[in-house]
Amino acid sequence: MKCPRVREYLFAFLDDELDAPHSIEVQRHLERCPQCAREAEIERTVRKRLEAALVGEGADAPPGDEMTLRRLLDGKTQSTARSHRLLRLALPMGAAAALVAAVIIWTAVTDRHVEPPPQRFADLLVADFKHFVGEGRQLQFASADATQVGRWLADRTGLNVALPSMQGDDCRLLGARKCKISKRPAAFALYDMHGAPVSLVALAARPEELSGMQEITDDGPRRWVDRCQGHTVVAARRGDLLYAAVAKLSERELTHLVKGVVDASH
Amino acid sequence: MTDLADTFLVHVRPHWCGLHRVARRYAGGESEACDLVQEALLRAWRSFSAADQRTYRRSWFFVILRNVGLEWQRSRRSRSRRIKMLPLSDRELTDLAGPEPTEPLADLPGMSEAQFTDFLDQRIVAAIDDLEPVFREVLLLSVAGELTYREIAEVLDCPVGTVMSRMARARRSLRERLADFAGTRSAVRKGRS
Repeated sequence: MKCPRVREYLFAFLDDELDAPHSIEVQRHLERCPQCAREAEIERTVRKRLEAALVGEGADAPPGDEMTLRRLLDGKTQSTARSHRLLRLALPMGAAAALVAAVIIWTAVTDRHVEPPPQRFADLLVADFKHFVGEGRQLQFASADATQVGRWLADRTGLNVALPSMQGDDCRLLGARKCKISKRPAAFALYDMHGAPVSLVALAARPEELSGMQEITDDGPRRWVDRCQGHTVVAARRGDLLYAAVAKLSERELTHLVKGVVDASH
Repeated sequence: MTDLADTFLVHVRPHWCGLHRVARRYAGGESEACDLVQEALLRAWRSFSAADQRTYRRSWFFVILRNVGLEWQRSRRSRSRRIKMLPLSDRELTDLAGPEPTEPLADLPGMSEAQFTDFLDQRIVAAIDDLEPVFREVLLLSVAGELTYREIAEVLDCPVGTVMSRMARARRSLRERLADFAGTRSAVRKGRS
């Protein structure tokens, strides 16, 4: 691939939106063309500073905002939400804000305080799995070589990922993508186990995330298990990383994959 | 709190911050952004059905947010320097296009990494605000909304290839704005003045 063509694909490549064959070609070109490599580095920096500027400014939603929404939803059927919408559009902004404030005060006085339920770690993993598999999205890096895929993930996420190759088992590695779980960089590897997709996600471990899961220590590696929306999640720690396998398979099958992580060497 | 509302909020929560980040750029201020998000989510709530959960992808919420924002802007004729969302056709976009996607990117002066970071931190918001709205929006949805190209295509109701093209043009235009700020952009350049 020559420089002009690389320029055409450069931004999609940097955004991890380019398909695997073109990504490989662009990557190879950058490895041997200092000028294009420099441009790629500049654009990576521009993107990072853009993220810092747009995401950094008040990164979180205003506190209490979700509580306001919950109270507006609370007790409202979906048809009365339509009435609310018509009322909101008819009022000037200041009066509407006063109405919302009045609702908040009224519900604070008359209702018991309800904290929003914390999102379970398994929920986040399953949501990401369903988002990827359910939409038939492409992997960012396709390879069955666990070492190569691990290096690609390490380069993209900064995580020292070690993947099991599972050679000889009815389970094969298909490739990887980088993603975010709970706003943290995460390494996502996709396996095919008996024809079913299985994700193996690695991210920096947070002990509190495992507290809602069932801990298993009696057979095999120490692991944590949860079930969510018809999916099984099996997690294990290796060093400072947490690896979590997600699929619509049994705990025994996912434990086999997770055991491969614990046994894998760098 | 009803079970259905709980389920709805489970779907909303992962996108909550992204919706607010994008709404801040659509709206004229923080309180308007909150109102915009709440109005959009109330509208989403009207259509939500727990029996059809796979439909409620992240892009669905952003489509509704964008639609509400467009309605607000049309009805209020905002003069804000925030994003004005214009449903430009691709033909109109061609008139806005700068250099061809295969041409070299605009030059930036040689700087150390720290100097370059400082330069970007000082100039990048002004540079993005100076972009054409259609280019600014695709950058906003990608960076602030953290949407994939495919999701942006769903929000903007256009092919993924169009998103890829607009994104490349947006990033090239941004680079040209930065080069303008740095005073390194060549006076002899085809396309943009």
